[in-house]
Formats: sequence, C-alpha cells, structure tokens
Amino acid sequence: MASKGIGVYVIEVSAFNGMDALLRLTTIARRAKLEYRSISVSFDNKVVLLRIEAVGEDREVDWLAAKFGRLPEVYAVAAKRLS
Amino acid sequence: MGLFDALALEDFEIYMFRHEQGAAHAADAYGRVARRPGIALATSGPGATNLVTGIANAYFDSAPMLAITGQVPTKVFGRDAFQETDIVGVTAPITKFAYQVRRPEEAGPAIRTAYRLAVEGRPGPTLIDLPRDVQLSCYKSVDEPEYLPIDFTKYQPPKPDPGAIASATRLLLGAARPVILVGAGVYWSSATAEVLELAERLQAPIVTTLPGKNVVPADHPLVLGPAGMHGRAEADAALANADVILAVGTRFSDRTVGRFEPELREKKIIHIDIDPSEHGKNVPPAISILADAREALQAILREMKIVIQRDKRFIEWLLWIRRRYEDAMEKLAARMRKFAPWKVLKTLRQAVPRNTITVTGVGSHQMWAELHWDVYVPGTWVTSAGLGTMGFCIPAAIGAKIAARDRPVLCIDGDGSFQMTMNNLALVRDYDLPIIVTIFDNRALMLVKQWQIFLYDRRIVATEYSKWPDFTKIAEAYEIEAIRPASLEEIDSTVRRAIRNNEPLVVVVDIDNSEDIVLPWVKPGDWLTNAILPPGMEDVSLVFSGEEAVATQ
Repeated sequence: MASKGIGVYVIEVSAFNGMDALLRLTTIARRAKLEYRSISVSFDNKVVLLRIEAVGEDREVDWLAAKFGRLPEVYAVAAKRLS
Repeated sequence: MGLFDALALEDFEIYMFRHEQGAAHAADAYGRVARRPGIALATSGPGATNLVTGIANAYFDSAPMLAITGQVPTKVFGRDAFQETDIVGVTAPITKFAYQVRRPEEAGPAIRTAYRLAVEGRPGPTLIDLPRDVQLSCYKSVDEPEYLPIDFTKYQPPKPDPGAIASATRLLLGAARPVILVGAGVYWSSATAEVLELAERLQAPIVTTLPGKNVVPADHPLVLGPAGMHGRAEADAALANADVILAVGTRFSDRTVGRFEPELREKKIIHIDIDPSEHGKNVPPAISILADAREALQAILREMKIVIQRDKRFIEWLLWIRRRYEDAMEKLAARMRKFAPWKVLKTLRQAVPRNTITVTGVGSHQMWAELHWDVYVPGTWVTSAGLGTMGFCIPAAIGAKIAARDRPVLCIDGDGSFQMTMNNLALVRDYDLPIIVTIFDNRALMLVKQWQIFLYDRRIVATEYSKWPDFTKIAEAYEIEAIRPASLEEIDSTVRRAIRNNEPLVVVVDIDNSEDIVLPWVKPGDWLTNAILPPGMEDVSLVFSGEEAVATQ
C-alpha cells in the first residue's frame, strides 16, 4: 500500500470455520474507521471467503488487514487499493 | 456435568470458585505466573456469561487462559432452550480464538488447538463451547487430527529485519535523550536481561507501562518506574523529554502516554512488537521491528559495538525529580489523619520476601501500588491493566497461589474492588491457599471520586459507601485471621508472622477518603508534562531545558 491518504480498497479474506469465522471477522471490521460499500461472502464447506469494499485511510485498512491476519482461523488476507 | 464427570476419572486439579468470574480471573493469573493456560469451566447460559468479564480481562492484558463452556444440545440450538446463550457470539471480539464443537470427533482437536493458541505468539484467552449432546456422546478416536486446520506458523515471529536493526541502532546511538519503554511483551519474550544490558550500554532510563512493571527490577539504577496517567513523575518526565523512544512489547496505551499527538509524533520511535497489528496502531514509528522482543534486542546489542559516554544531566535531573517526589510524599504522609497508602505499601514491601507475587485490584490502591510498589523479581506483578476490572485481586491472587504454592502471594485490594469478588475467599481454606490480603479501606470508589472532585466540580455521585460490611468479620467468616492495624509497625509484624507461619491474613487499612488523592495525575487527554504533582513540588517542571544541572545539585 504505497500511496497515502483516503482511497477505495478491496480486502479479501479466507478463513476456516464458516459462519463463526464470519462473525469474528465482522466484529473486527465494525471497529475500523472505514466506510463500507459492500461485503460479499461465499463458503466452501467450512472455509469462508470474504470480500470487502471500503473507503478510508490506508493506515486504517492496514490496521484492519493486520487484525484479520492475527485471527487463528484466517488463512490469507489481501488488501489492495482500487482508486 | 458430562465434562466434570469425565474429569473426575482423570488426574485434574479442580478448584470450585464461588462465582465464574472468579474462576476466569484465577485462570488468567495462573496463566501469567505459570506461563501456561489456566482453564476455567462453566455451565451454559449464566455460567458462561459470568466468565465474560474475566475473558475480556485476559484479552486486554494478553494473558493465556482457556475457557470451556457448556451449551444446550445441538438439536435445540436457536430455540431459546433453558440456559441457552450464544457464548461464541458473545465472546467473539474478546477471545483470541473461540470454537463451538458440534461433533464429538472435533472435541479433542478443538481443545488441543485452543490450549496451544492461548500461549502461541502473543498470548490470549481462547474458548471452547461444548454442547451437552457432544459431552454425553461416546466416541473413540480413530486417526483423529491433533489440531483443527489452523495455521500455527503465523505465530512464529519473523527474524528481525537487519536493515531495521541497523537503523534502530544508529538512531539510538545518535540520540541525545533515548528512553526505553517496556511493556508486558518483554515478560513473554523473557527479554529482561537484554533490556537492562541495552539500557546500561546506552545509559538510557527505562520506563514501564503498568503491566510492564512486571519485567524490570525496580531497584536497578536506570529503572524509573511506570509512566502515564498515574505514573511516576520522573518516568513521565523521561518519556516526555526523550528524543528517541525504544518501545518494546507495548501497544502505546493512552494510559501510558496521555495522548498520542502532537507531542508523541514529534519523537522518533522505534517499536519492537511481535504483533503486526500493534505497529502504527496508535503512534506511527520511525522504525518498526516486527519480531520477538528478545531476538530484536539481541540483534541491536550485536550491532551496537561501542559504549556511549553520555551527558549525565538528563538522568541526574530525572533522579532529582524522584527525590523531590519522595520528599513531598514523606511530608504529606506526616500530615495525614489515617494511614498514608504509600507508607503502607513501603511497609508491606519490607515485610514480604522479594519474590512475593503481588496482585492488585482496581482503584486508587492500584494506582498507589503502581507508583510505590517495587517489583524486584520479574514475573511477580499481576494487575488488571487494559480492562481495569474491579474484583480482580482475590481470585487472581488465588490463581497465582495455585500456580506457585511455594511463593508468598500478596493481594493489594481496595474496599470497592474487594466487595465484588470477596466470596472467593472460601477457597483459601478449601484448598489451603494462604494468601495475604490488604484492603485499603476508604469507603469509596476513590479513583472515580477523584475525577468527580477535579473534573465534575466536586459533585460526588454514587462513589461513597456506607460503613458496612466489617471486612474483618467477613474474613473471620472464612476462618481467616484479620486485623485492623493501628500502626505501620503492627502491619509489619503481623504480615511477617503470617509469612513465617504460611498462614492467610486479611489486613484492613483505614484510609481517609478526603485525603486519598492519587498524585501525580495526568488528566485524560493531557500530555505527560502537565501531570498534577503533589503539594511541595510546585516549583518542579517536567520539561527539560538542559539548564537543570545547577538546580539539581
């Protein structure tokens, strides 16, 4: 995340434990100071794939991605700036 | 019940607390002292929700514990069955990991996973929810995986980045007034020796967070004590006047630094932490080192090939502030009608062995202990710092004693905090856990009352207690000797006797709440140099100009 300031971001997360993982991810996401544009979820058995589109500061996105990544059930997190 | 029944067949030590919150605090403190998770078991519904405060406490202090909760049978999930509560949902934001077992074959891997995760990397509480039908089912494991499909490798900290280590070393060597700020992460990393060696090489003062008191010996000449809202004046001054701060294993709590800007942003901060989400969370560091604290400090020590000959004026000035503060508090104590809390603490410190595990409740007594209790042996200070949970002391002291039966355990509590969990005193005799409890009895929620006095124009609302109950009688009801001492000498002799005889004791110390104002105090949102200092320090400024050398002679 090279450029600073406010931007539109996509954060993608894969995690183990289905709906319970989704719950734990959203309890973190709701505390990030971001404006959420969309959240979509799909499931592959117990693996949940979450895609978030949000607007906000890069450091806040960094914080959210790092917090996601610390959850034991999270396999991967990727955040990229769209604009 | 199914789980307890099964435990009866195994070699588990089971301690029956009088309230689930107590069990959770005990598991938390056990985990901190033993460095492996204590386990708190509770039934579904209210049993599980009563654990919640204890779980949150462990979460905010990064303490390892495992909670196992009962749950209604899976077939009635969501039907509001008797004592059904979605405890995984309730604890989702305050657990490192929470998992509801839905099939018998998951139980073993889930519990092993949760137990391991509680201490893996940055410690924290984990929870396993066991529905009744799972508990009662008969299951023989065949090719059972050891763990749930979790990636544990993410908790292996990366090796410190050599470039960052070199930059950090250069910054420290070039600093005019470097200060080392240590938090609880130093304890979990066992990095005390490295912190002290680095401080000595740099001739840099060490200040701590409130839980960071646990990691460096208070009688080391470079240790100034905790900084922050109720920090030592010399520690506040050190942090506020540093040009470079090496922060190790701390999350930069607002309680430690007062406020984050503008002052803190003007400093060059080197942040060493094992948790990537802590880097830049509150303060953007000049250099970020994502690594185990001990490894990072060892790398800096290897890189630092020269010994600094530093101008001593800064440290001499800080030590002068310390002397002024001690003098002021001595004079203040002489004027007090009842006991001066800090004199009681100094008396207790002399009366108990250096390796005594000290646990506090939450309130003014805790802040006095933050200021005046000297921790000599790392790993012997247990307090509720992040959540600030009143009622922590008694059950946590019991948990600490279970973890270290060979060492004395002292609980420094307040009357408000004590009354929240005092029912757990029953375990002292039930399981022969002779702890020493000191209750600073000011009949008030004094820290809140202090805010009402200073910030709410002295409107005192819901912070003063009546004279009931008599705490000595509470202690006696549990067959614990209790005294209400008349002098510091009586405290000293009675506590020494209890230690010598390995007997429990409750000491109820009368404190006059009209005099019990904890100073220094950095008001919320204020900067450290604006700390309100005690009477007798009116001429002392916490701003270092470099001209203080003469004044400190």
